[in-house]
Amino acid sequence: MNDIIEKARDAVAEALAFRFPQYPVRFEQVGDETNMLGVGVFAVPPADFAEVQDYIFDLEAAGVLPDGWELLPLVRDPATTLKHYPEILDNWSAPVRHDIVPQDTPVLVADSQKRQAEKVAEAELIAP
Amino acid sequence: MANPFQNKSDSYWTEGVACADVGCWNSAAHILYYAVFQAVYGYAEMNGSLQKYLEPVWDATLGIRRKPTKHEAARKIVDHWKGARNAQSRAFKKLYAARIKADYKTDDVADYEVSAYISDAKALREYFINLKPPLGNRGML
Repeated sequence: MNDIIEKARDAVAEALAFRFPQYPVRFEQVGDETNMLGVGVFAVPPADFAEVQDYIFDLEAAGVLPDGWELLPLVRDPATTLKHYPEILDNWSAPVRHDIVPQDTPVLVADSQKRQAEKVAEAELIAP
Repeated sequence: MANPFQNKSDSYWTEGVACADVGCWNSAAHILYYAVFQAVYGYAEMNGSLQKYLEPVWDATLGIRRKPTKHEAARKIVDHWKGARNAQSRAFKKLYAARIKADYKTDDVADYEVSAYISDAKALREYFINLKPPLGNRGML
């Protein structure tokens, strides 16, 4: 991936982590489009879909990408994330923010962290 | 002169709404997106501006000369007429996102990813179906 696009991706990811720290983000291919970054945002409650999509379009309008490049939000709800993209949640933990603490940590993230902790405990039990 | 894609766009729209009515959201996303796309594409073809939007452009980021896709051209045309922050422009892009999910991703399109934008998409489609080309460009087809 080109350095300029790599930096743009970092900027988009950083902005999303600041605005929506509770949701994991992953970049995706969009069909055959070579100059479009698909922004996968996961475990988003349906009520927040439009807000997340509009924020991503606002980032594009603000010129976060090089000329001619576009962002496309690909947002998934918690059930879809768990069913089709469980790997996204496996190593996910929301970035630590001291200025804004999320009041309602999504259940899925909490479950994922619990599963991770259980796996570690299990491994420790098995280890000699 | 009528939009050359009017009949096809009309029937796609009717089929897309029928899919939405019975809860087939993958099909609805795909068909409704194309109903709007055809209206936009037809307008650009009718007024002779389509080639301008499809001309290869220099992509400094990739260091190549790149031909825009027809979908990219349609988004540019919509942004040109409605503005990038307009609700109808965004509805078109959100339908495109739903259509990408429907066609290329393993997960299904949910009802709220389409139903919330049907009204704006309908208005946008009708806008381009009814939009008349500038006088100088009429009769180019």
